[in-house]
Amino acid sequence: MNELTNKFWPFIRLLIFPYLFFMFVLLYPIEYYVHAPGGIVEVESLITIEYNEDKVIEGSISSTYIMSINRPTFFQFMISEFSDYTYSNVITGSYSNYTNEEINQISYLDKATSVDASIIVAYQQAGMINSEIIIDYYPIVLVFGKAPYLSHYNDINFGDEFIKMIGDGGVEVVDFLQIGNNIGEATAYEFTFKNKNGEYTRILELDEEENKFGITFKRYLLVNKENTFPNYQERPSNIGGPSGGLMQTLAIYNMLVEQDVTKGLKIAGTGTINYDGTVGYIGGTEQKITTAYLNKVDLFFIPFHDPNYYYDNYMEALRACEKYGIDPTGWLIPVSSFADVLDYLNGVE
Amino acid sequence: MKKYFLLWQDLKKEFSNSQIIDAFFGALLYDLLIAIPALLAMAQIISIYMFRLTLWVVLIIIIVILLNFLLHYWWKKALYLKHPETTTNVKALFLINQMIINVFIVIIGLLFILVIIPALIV
Repeated sequence: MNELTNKFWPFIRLLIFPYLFFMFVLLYPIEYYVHAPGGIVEVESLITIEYNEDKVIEGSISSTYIMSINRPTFFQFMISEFSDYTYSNVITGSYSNYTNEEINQISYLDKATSVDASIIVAYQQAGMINSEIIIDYYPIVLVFGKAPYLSHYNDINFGDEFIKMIGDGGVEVVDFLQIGNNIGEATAYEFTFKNKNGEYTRILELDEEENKFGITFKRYLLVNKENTFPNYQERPSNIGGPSGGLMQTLAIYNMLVEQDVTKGLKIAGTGTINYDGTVGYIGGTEQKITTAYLNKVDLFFIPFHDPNYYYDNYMEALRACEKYGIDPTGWLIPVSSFADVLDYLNGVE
Repeated sequence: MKKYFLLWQDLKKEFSNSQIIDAFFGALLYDLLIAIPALLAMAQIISIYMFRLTLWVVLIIIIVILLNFLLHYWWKKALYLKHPETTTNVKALFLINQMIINVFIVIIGLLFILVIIPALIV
């Protein structure tokens, strides 16, 4: 070992500082985010349904994912500037208070709940045609946001279930929408949550400046698998976020009905799915358009609600198509609900 | 393969085990000093240019093959520095060694491209 060091010492001495500088550039994170094109992934690899198993699906239905890098290193940020397809900006809003790990937790919570939403909407839609198909679900209220001033910040995790709060006069509040109507006399209140380890109770203090606890709840619907037919199996996903909701719904629906809605096409798209079957906006539209285009999909569904809104996903997608020279005719399909998707595919020859 | 084992035997006659191991770890240390930033940079490039994933995996295979070459080059250099008068054909021995390792690198790389990556992206 010493022989090598002695032999190369002049070079080593010369390279120490450039080496350390390069390592710093490779490791130091900056307060930015970068969106870059990712890929498409067939929904069938995420969810399988024990029904119509002999059915031949000629085409494919894929959700589109992008690479969303929070707090990239200097090196990542610099190389992202060389690509026409990437977008980078400063992290703002509540995400600037979250660690990368917390952002991932939110992202996977979004993904998990979006799969349940997709199953509910697809089963309901398929159930209109086939009475064998039954869906049962229940509401649940989960922790979706945390402010830096939240008491017991590290004890309460994203995705923990809200069970109850003891309000003024000892009133037990189980409806999270009623929390505001049952506080005011004290500065701290008892909250009960539930996670995989069971129920736990914490005293949360109202922040003096904000007069808030610093916690955000969101109501979700989860599938009751015991009373749902047919059974389905969900594989753990390593792609986060809710934007695969629409395509998940379409793929699940296609597994449930007799006809093949793909008609041999390579279908992709993006958009969240709401419980009423409407489609919600997503982020990273430009990168998703380029991802779909690079993956040579035949159709791409995109949320569309308001042509006058600058950040409407369809309007953003049209601008992206113009920027990259993509012809959107017959390829980019604006939809506002799951029913729009089915209507469009029914019309395809 | 017979030639390969004979060359190893020749090497062991001229160098003690501790000398061979010491030369190897010296080479490995310098190889790692290059490998760590190189592979870290590749991983970060992949995270941004994910849509060219297969291309990057092929490039990683090439980089690992180059690192393997560097490892053997330094290992040989360290051995010669210990015994400049050595008569063993270390170059031939390490060439065969590199070839064997390179085959494994290519197989693992292809496994990543064809099996592991498609299975991981769900």
